[in-house]
Amino acid sequence: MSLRMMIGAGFLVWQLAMIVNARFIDTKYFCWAPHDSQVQYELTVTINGRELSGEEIQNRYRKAKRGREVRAAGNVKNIIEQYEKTYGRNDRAQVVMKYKVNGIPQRDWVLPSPSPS
Amino acid sequence: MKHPYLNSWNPFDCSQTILPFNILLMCKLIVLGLWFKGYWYEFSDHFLPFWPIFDYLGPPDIFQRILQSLFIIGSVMLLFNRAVRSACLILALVFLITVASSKIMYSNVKFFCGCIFLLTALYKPAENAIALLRYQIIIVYLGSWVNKIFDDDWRSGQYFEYWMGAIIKRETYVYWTTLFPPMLLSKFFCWSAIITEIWLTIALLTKLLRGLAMWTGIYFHCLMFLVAWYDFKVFMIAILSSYLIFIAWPKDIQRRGLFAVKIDGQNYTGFLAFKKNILYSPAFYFIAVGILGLPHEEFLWIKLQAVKAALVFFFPLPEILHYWQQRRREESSPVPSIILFDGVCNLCSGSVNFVIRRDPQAKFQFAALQSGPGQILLKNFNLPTDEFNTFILIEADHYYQRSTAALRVLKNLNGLWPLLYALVLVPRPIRDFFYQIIARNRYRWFGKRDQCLMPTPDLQKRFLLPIDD
Repeated sequence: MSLRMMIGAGFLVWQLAMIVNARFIDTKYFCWAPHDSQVQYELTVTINGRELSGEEIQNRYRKAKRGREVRAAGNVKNIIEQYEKTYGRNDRAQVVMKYKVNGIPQRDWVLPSPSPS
Repeated sequence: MKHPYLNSWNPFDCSQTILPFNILLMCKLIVLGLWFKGYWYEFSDHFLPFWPIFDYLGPPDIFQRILQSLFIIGSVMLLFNRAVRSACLILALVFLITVASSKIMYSNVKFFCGCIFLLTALYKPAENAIALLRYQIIIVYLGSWVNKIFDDDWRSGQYFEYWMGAIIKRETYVYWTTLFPPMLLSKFFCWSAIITEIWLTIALLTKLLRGLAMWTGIYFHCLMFLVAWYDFKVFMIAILSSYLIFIAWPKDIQRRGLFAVKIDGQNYTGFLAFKKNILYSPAFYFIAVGILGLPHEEFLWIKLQAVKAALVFFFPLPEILHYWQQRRREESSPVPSIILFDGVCNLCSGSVNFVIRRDPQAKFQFAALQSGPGQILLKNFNLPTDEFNTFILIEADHYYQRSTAALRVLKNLNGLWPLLYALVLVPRPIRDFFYQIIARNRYRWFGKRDQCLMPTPDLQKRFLLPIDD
């Protein structure tokens, strides 16, 4: 088998592994989940006691304050979590995401997660 | 193949490059779809990447401009037949870097384009490189149904009910739901999608079912468009274009007017010829992509009517009738098939006796691979004349090897043996893997003769003998 074929075959095997991996995590990336979920969400972001406007949220996460995600709710959470752990780690933002998955309301997601009492 | 710099500049000409016609046409159609849908705006800067290294790839606006420029360069090179594999590599890098450098910009369409262009860039003649592209499409369907079948909302129909009723608000669908018990219609659609994707995964793997699977896939995506009025941006164009890799583009097309065409030595007339004339014209695919690529909201009605017309026009009934007529002609004037076997192998000689006992109508004739007639036939089919690790079945002008040959022989034997032909549904690489194990160990396990099998006088007429015999 030539190097080209090995690279191609390795790439396909990696995709198979990602399909299996997606069964065990909340996010759906690289696993061929097209339009598998209709998530409608609303974000509330507070920094130093001030609530950010829709435009500020859009500029911060490049995600609308009220929007739709077609793969998994975990993708939106993952994006916000990554932003707050990297670019925005000094802001100490508090994020609340209210959301519905396929029309069914879910428990609010909060960042940072409330510490167990 | 000419020197790469002497290739035709004509975008409709896909025949002069290192890539097979169908693969190059597929890539061009995807690129056209991306252009029509305005995808050069979709290459963002690096923002929330999957891997932190992308955060260090220079100023975001320059990063974005580089990706956009590379997309333009790669697509122009591809469309005008310049260094097509390099063009595909450029496009693959653009799409894969785009999805990897920004979780916001991640989309299945971009990842799909990246995969297709990467595997095309890796194409190498004489290797079974096209198989990688085929497996790519199969993996897309595999991932798709695996994600759905483990989702409660897909199994219950909740997903479709909510999507159609609340998100895209199709009034026709809402009306139809009132005629059935709650959730029944949505459950039907959800399970139809899951079962179709499972079928596509299995059938596209199997050479025998591939044609049927292709038509299923084309109708599946088009009907989804007609039901939902949504084309998933460029995904519909990309996935339908990718079906080209499952067909063998004819080597020789002689058009003799609209209703007569000779394709690879076979004559077609009437409506079937008309369809073939269209299906084997790159211009048709360019126009189809042009229509599907029209702005969605403004031209939705035209797109819906075009898809409906195409589904009716291309319904493969004439092809099915032609196929059955051909089968009946072949059956009414059967030509014996020829089995070429390793003449010094005990297992192979035993297999020949096994076939003869179960083939009283003499559908098969035999020749040792090492014999004069065997060597002539091997040369005729451009097969190696010194490798005897597989037996070969020759049917008219086609030959089959390894497990496929064995199963086709079983299909024509008396008794219950034809039932084993169902094993043809097992993907060929898996079947051949087991075949090879036996073939490699046949001398050790079953022994070897010193000289070729000589048929007894009463069986001589079943064996091909040298002309001077």
